[in-house]
Amino acid sequence: MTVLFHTFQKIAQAYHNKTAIISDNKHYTYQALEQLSLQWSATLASLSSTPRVALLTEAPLNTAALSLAIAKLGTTCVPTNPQLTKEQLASGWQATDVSIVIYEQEFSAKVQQCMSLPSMESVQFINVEALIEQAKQGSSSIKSTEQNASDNKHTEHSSDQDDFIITLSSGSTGAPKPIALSQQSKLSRAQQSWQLYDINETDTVLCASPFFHSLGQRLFFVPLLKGCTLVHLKHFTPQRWLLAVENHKVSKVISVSSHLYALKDELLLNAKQLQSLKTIVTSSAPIDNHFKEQLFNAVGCDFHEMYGATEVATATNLYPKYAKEKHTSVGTPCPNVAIKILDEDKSELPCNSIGEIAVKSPLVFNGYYHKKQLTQSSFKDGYFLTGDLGKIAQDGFLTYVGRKKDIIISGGINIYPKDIETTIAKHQAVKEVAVIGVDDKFLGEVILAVCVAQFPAETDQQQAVKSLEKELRRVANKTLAPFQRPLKYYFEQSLPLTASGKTSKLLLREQYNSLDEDWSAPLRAMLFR
Amino acid sequence: MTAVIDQVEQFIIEYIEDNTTEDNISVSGSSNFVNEQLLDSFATLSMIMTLESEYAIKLTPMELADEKMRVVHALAEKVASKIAPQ
Repeated sequence: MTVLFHTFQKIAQAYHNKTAIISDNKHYTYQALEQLSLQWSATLASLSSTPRVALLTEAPLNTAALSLAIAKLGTTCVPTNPQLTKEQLASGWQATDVSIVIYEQEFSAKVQQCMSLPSMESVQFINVEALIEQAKQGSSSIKSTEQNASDNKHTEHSSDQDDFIITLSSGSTGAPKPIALSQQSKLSRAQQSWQLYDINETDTVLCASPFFHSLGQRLFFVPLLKGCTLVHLKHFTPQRWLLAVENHKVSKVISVSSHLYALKDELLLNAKQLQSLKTIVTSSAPIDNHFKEQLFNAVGCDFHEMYGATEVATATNLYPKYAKEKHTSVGTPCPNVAIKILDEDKSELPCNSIGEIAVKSPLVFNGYYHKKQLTQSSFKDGYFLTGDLGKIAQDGFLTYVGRKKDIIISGGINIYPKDIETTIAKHQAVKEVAVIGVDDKFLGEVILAVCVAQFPAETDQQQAVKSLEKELRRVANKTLAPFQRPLKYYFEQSLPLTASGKTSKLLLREQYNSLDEDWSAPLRAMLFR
Repeated sequence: MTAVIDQVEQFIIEYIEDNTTEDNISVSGSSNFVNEQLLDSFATLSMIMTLESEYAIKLTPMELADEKMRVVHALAEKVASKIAPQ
């Protein structure tokens, strides 16, 4: 009934004195984590017979203990992004029938705002401090046998297929989608990662992603259900990342591409301090093969490429042995996973045609919570429609092309920003790049490249930017088709990010559309004066 | 000045040769790349942007609307006239 919790408990008992979590240089053992989760499950059970709990927590011990406590009760947990507005928070909690919100002190101002909303009247808000206090009182009054009886009352109707975690996806448009996953699915997904990346109890795993993001959840359960040590980074900076890896001898990393972008140069410069790293898993980060080879030679660290979605878990894996030969691919389907490429009418396309990636996986989600129609329309013959574009080669290797919505249509031609970003990102002075389409009355859209550049400190920055633009144009003219070449290059200090740490192209498009330029005026003047 | 014009002209010729969709063509100073359809719209726009960036100049739509600008040599003269003296 509570398969995830019981798996954890077995591990916690086997490794009770081992460090489970390291955060801000504090170490917490498996025993401490188990005890806290048991206490909190008893406290939550005393508050409600079927608590549905939203988490506004960042401290990893709180997050891990609470999610495990909820797993023990066989109920549902909704990790939430504290950066959302009060209306967004309330609408997410309402959509997932949250009855209790547990928050850390630093979010109390935000919670006060939420409490004032009429829709939140029946929701109970509990500060983590108060929970600790209640747990202390509760533990002295509840005997262990009574505790078990009380737990059984909560779990007898639940099954391992019931919703355990609901992730509110940060979709680029519209309301967030509540993606529901069972305990069994979370456990199977962890098992999949152990197998793919050869993770065992001797590993130390770094988590630099928030728990409200599915990658963050994965990076909690993958180590904690196996007996590994989880090193948690609350806020990512390249310096903190490097220190965490060096100080705690991190061996396995699964990273969002924006972090790897930021780390790119640092990894090679700090190769000596990073000798503990065995594997970095990336998700279509535009890091070229030459760089991977350099890193392998300097650190002895493997790169795995993967492709996946919260709804279907990891769908493909590119083993390091294929990295050179298949450097544009995200690999072949994982065991028991099937992938098809579909056209606009949802019919299967032949090899090497670009279309929507559809995935059939035993690790599929339960559905979008209380959105039956949306769930049904997201599948075709048991295959989940990812909204991503890709193509499959004859030998089964998948290439990820981009988000369906990310396509730029200029002059009627479909243009995939990722191809252009990969070309630009190869330049050593380019730290990050996002290629976007902005509205143009003649061409429909035109291409802009927004770059974050990095020059040596003593360089004349203005001059350096001008030279860099010239160089990037030369590269584009040489390697990209005319319709793929950015019309303009812009240079920014940083790129806007979504809550989950991905570059927000939506914000970039808004920002550059607001310039309201007549982008194609020179062309029209020349051709159609 | 003539040397600069020659250099820009050569740059434009090479750009057209690299980007033309036509086979076996010979591009010269007198080639009219619009009328002879040597470049598609994207390649034309990209050429204007490349010239602006390469020579740190700005070509206004008004200037580009002059039909003469479709001829390699005239375009090279216009670009050269805008390059700041070294």
